[in-house]
Amino acid sequence: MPLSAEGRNIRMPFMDILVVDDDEETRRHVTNGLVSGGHQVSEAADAASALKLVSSRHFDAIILDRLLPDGDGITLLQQLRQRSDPTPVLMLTAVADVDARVEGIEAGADDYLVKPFAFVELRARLLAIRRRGAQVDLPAAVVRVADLTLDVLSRTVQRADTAIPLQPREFLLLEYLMRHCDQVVTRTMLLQNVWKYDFDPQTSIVETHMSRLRAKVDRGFASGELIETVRGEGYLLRSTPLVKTTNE
Amino acid sequence: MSEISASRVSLLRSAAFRLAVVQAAIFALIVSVLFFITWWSVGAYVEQRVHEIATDGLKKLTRILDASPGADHIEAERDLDENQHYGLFDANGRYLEGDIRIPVSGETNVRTPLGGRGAALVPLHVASGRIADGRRLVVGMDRRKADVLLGRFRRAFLTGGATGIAAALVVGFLTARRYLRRVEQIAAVAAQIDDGRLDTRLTVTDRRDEIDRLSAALNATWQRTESLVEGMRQLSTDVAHELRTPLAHLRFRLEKTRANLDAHSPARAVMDQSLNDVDRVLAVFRALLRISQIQSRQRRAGFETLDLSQLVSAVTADFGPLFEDEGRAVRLYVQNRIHIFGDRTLLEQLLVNLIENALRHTSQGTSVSVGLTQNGAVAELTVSDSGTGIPESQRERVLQRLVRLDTARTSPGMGLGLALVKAIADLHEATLELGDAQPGLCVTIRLPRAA
Repeated sequence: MPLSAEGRNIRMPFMDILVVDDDEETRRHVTNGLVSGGHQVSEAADAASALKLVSSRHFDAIILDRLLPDGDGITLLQQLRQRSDPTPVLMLTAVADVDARVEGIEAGADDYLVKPFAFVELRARLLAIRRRGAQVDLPAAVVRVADLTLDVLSRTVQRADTAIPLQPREFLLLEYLMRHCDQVVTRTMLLQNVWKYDFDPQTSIVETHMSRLRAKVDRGFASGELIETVRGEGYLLRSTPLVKTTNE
Repeated sequence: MSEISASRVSLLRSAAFRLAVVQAAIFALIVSVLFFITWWSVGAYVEQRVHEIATDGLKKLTRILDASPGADHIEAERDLDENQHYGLFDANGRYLEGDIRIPVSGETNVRTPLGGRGAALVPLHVASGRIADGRRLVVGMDRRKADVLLGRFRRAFLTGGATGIAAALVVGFLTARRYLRRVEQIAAVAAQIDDGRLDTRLTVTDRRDEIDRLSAALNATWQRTESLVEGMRQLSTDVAHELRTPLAHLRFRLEKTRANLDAHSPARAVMDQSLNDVDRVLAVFRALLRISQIQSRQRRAGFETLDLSQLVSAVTADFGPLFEDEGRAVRLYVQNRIHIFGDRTLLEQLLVNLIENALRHTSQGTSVSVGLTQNGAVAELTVSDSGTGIPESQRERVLQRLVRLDTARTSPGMGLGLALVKAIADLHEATLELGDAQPGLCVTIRLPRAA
C-alpha cells in the first residue's frame, strides 16, 4: 500500500535512489516509503560507505543528510561535484536557518529539506529535482501542456484558442505547475519557488490564489480539468486531463 | 544604537576639555586674587615709603631753613638725595628757587617739569609746608622708580597668569584629544558589538591607566556576553537537533500508521489530528529559532538597498484575494520609490505577519489599510484595521513571545507573529508602535531610509 494517493493515475517514474543518513529510523522510513512506491533504494549510514557506493554505480538521485558521523554531508557533496557527478542531491538537515540552506545549495545540492518532513514532501521534491537533473537546456520561453500554452516573454496564456488573462502571481503559479506537470507540487514548494518566501504564512494564501487560477484555467473548457488537488499532498497539473465521468 | 555612539563627540564638547577649561578658569581666579592681594600690600608699602621720603625731606629742609632764618639758599644737593626735589616760594606763592616751580599746598601727586619750561614731566609725590618766616617750601619725591617697580610687578603677574591659563588650555586640549580618541575607540568597538560582531575587542595598552582598566573590564563583559550568546545559540541548535530526531521519528510512525488505516476509520482522524499537533509543535519551534536567529543580528550581513514601495505594494496586492473572499478589502496607500537598506525576505515576512494579523483578528466587514509614506529620513509603514484593537495596557505584552490576549484565543495563531515583527523591526533599527486607529489597531513601523 503506497503512502498516498499516488496510485490515482499518476505514474511516478522508477528511480534508483541512494539514502545517506546515520539515523536508522529516518533511513528506514524513507526507504520503506520509496520502496512501496516502486523505487529501488540503497542505504548508507556514513560518508565513507556512501562515497564507495557512488563511485561504483549510478543513482538517479541521492538523499543526503547534512550531518554524518564521519564528516559533513556538504563535504561529501563537494567531492561528488568536483568529479563532475551530476546526480541530483536532496539535502536533509535538522538546521532550518537560511545560512545552512544557502550553504547547501552553493555546495551543489538541488534542494533542501528540513527534518522532520512529511513523506509526500520528500517524494514531491525528489521527483522535481530528478527532472531538473535531466533538464540540461535553459527553460523554454514557451511552455505547452495539453491544450494550454504559456509564453514567458509576452506573459500570455492560452487554452485551446482562448486567451486567459492572469494576475502576475497566478501567472507565476501556472508557469511553475506547467514546468512540473504530472508531478505533485506541495504548498511549501510553491511558497519557496513562486512566492520566494522562506517562511510559512498562516493564512490560505496559496489556496486562494490556486482556486482563482483554477477558476480561470479550468472552468468552462470542454477538454477537462488540468489542475487537480491531491488531498494531503498538494497540487497537480496533468498533461492528460481527467474528464470527469462517474464518481471519483 | 544610541545617539552618543552614533555621532562623534566634538573635541570642544568633550568632558576632558571642559574640565581643562574649568581648571584654567580656577587658575585665572587664583592668579587674580593673588595679584590683587600682593598689589594692594606692595602698593600700600610703596606709597608709604614715598610719603615718608617726601615728608622726611620736608622736615629736614624746614629744620635747616628755620635754623638759619633769612638764608635764601639751600644746599639741596647736600641735604637731599637724588630722588628728592624741592621748590621754595614766598608767602604769596611766587617762585624763589629749586627744581619744583609749582607752589603746591598739602600733600599730593603731581606731574611737573623739573628745572623749568621745556623739561620732561616727572611724576612727583610732594609734601609742602610753611617755614617760620612764612615762605612756602615744597619737597617732592620722584615716583618714577616706584612706578617702574609697580609696572613690572603688574606685567609679571599678567604675563605669568596669561601663560599659565594658555598652558592649562593647551594641556587640557591635548589631554582631551588623547582621551577622546580612546573613548571613540571604545564607542566604535561597542557599536560593532551592537551590530552583531560579538568577537570584537578593545586593545589594552601597557600603560595600565584608567582607560585600560575600563577597556579590560568591558572586554571581560563582552567576552562573557559572547560566550553566553554563543552558548545560547549552541543550546538552541543542540535542542533543535535533539528534539527534531525524536519528533521526526514520531512523525514518521504516525504517518506510517495513518497510511495503513482505512480511509473512513475513526483512528485515521485521530492520526490526522496527531500529525497536525506534531506539525504545530515543529512550527512553534521553527518560529522561536527564527526569532533567536534574527535577534543575533547575523542576518544583517545579507542586507541590500531595496525598493520598499514595490515590496509593500506586491505583498499587499497578493493578499487582496484573501480579503475579497471574505467580502472585504485591503486598501493600499503607497508613496513611490522609498528605498531602505534591509533584508527582503524578512521585510516581506514582517508585512505578511501584520496583514495576516489584521485579517485573522478582525471580524468580517472590517476594513484593513496598508500605508507607506516618507517622512524626512524615515519610511513610515502602517497597517491598520477597524477591529477591536488592543487595550493600551496590553500593547507592550503582545510583543513578547508566546503571548496571546484572551480575546484573541479563538483565532488561530501561535502568538509569535508580533514578537517576530518586533525582532525584524529591531534588526532594521526601526521602531514599532502599536496605536489606536479609533476604532481598531494601528501598527506603525518607522524605518531609516537608505541614503
